[in-house]
Amino acid sequence: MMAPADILFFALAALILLTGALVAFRPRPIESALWLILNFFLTSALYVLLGAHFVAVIQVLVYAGAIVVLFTFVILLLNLNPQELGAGQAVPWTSFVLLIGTITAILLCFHVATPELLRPLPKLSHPDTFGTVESFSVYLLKNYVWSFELAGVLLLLAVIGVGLLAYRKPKSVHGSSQQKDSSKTQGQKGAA
Amino acid sequence: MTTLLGSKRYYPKKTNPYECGIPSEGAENTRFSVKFYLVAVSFLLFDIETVFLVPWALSFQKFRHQGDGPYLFVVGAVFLFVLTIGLVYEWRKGLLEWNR
Amino acid sequence: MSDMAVMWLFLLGKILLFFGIVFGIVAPIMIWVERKVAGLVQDRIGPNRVGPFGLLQSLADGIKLLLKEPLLPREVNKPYYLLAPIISVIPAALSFAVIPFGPPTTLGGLFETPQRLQIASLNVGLLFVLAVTSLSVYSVVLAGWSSNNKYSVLGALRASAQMISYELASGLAVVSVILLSGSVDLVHIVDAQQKIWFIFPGILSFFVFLPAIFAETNRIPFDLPEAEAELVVGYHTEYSGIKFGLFFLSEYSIMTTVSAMAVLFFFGGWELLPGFTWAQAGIDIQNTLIGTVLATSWFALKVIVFLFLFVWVRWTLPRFRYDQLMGLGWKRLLPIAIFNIFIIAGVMAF
Repeated sequence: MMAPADILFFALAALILLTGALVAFRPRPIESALWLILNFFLTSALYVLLGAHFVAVIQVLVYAGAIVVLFTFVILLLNLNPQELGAGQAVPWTSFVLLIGTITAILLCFHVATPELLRPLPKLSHPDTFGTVESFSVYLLKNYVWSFELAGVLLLLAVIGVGLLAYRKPKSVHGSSQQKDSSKTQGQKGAA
Repeated sequence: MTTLLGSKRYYPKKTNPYECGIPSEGAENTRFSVKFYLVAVSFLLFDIETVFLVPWALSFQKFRHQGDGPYLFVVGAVFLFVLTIGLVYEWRKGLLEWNR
Repeated sequence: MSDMAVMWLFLLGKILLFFGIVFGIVAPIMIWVERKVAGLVQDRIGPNRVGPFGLLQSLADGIKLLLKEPLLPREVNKPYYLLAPIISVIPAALSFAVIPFGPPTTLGGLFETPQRLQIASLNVGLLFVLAVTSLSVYSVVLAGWSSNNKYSVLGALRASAQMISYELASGLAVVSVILLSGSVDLVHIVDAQQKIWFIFPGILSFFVFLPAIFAETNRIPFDLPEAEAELVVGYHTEYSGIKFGLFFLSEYSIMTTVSAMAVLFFFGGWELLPGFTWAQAGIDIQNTLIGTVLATSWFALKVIVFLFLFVWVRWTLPRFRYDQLMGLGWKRLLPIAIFNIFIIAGVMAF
């Protein structure tokens, strides 16, 4: 009937949708961040299913391991109450699971019942080295060199952006050690 | 497991958040320094640079065997140079001070 | 027995062996070593009451932690508070799953083709370890935040900032190892060191890598965030009992993983001596059981040396101030790491 890969795909897809919705609808931002991490993990699993191992690992490394860290820092720094964020009543878990489950079930039925419409594309034959990290790396560096360098420049622009951001807000230093911190910033401004 | 095995003596005073034995003072919602945000953003950017360097490093040997070693070196050197400009920029701007 | 059954048994055996050894043997022994060495360095004896030479001290400590009153501080955010220790163990265990403990082996003819001594053999094993260890930040953050104690949150932020800063330097040191070995597969990295261990060409990388792993595991001289917990201003403050025990366990487990990585990257893994492999000594590590056991024990020995190094450094060096710590990471190690890649690539290309 359905290949195990298909079942796995549908299961993963449903969970990804579920965790994504949970990110959006939970009242506490920390909880959203945690669901987001789970979401990225599941997406990474999806990549593994596609045979893109490098991308899968990078997904975890960069997205779950760096970007969500950034989000988490922001959440901790802002220290807001759920009320301040204008959160309404927390939509309970169960209604989500039901909703996503229903959608998935409907899609599954379509998939099984109308195989002509949703027939998977014929598999292209590819060499054994397809998707391996090494072949991918060589391909990237051979054919996309300029994009590679451009990415570096983009990151440089981002760094400069951070620098500008930081510089424009000299009074943004709060914290438990107020006395020392403000004198530090004064010193920096004076020296700069 | 501790919940099962531990003793059940439960004094209310024990559960207050404590600071050096004195009940907690200070506003409950102090805001923290923005330095942490800068660290996190810089980390993110340099982490992505590292991720880009991985395919470069992986393919280095292969290029070298084909005699294209210097070419790939230059490619990488340019990239690293751009990265270094970013680091130097942050350094000069004083973003790497104190907390960092 | 059928082939499949043997494979499954092998996998099960690996899992039990690895996790059992690390969580059940290495961690308690490390704690004992820690306290004994601490004692000796400080000119006293250290634990010597519980069991011969105080060896059962860890067991006693573990039992004590289990039996402690499950104190749940009032202000605490319950689900996250309980989640944090669990999250700390997950990356520790996960990263462990791809470390190879010996050469691919047929275990003396049990298998036709050499099987790996890893729980999961990924061809991107190295990156997997990096990715998973980068997740260990979250347990710290969650612990600090859920304690609902503003000092814990601050401690958590400082600890996380420290961890991610040094992840950068260690990542770049690892990139240089990738340069030298041409692979991200941990077994291939060891194989690439058959001519020469990477500690020699990669001496600068090691110079960057070593402080970085000390900082990431929050060990002295970089343990200011943990020290703050002693002073009631850290992210561990509100934890007790088994929850605290789990944090501790994950710390030692990550120490082991990271020591294993250091050995794999720079010290030839299970190879005999730099430039002199087992094969050259006449021992077949792939096909003979004796050879495999020898190679695996040699690897374990090297890892133990590193673990001892961790303990030795801890009781010898003073700790860094936080701003010194961050300055070191960003202004010294990071530039050195970048420069190192440049040099290694340059030497390799010309």
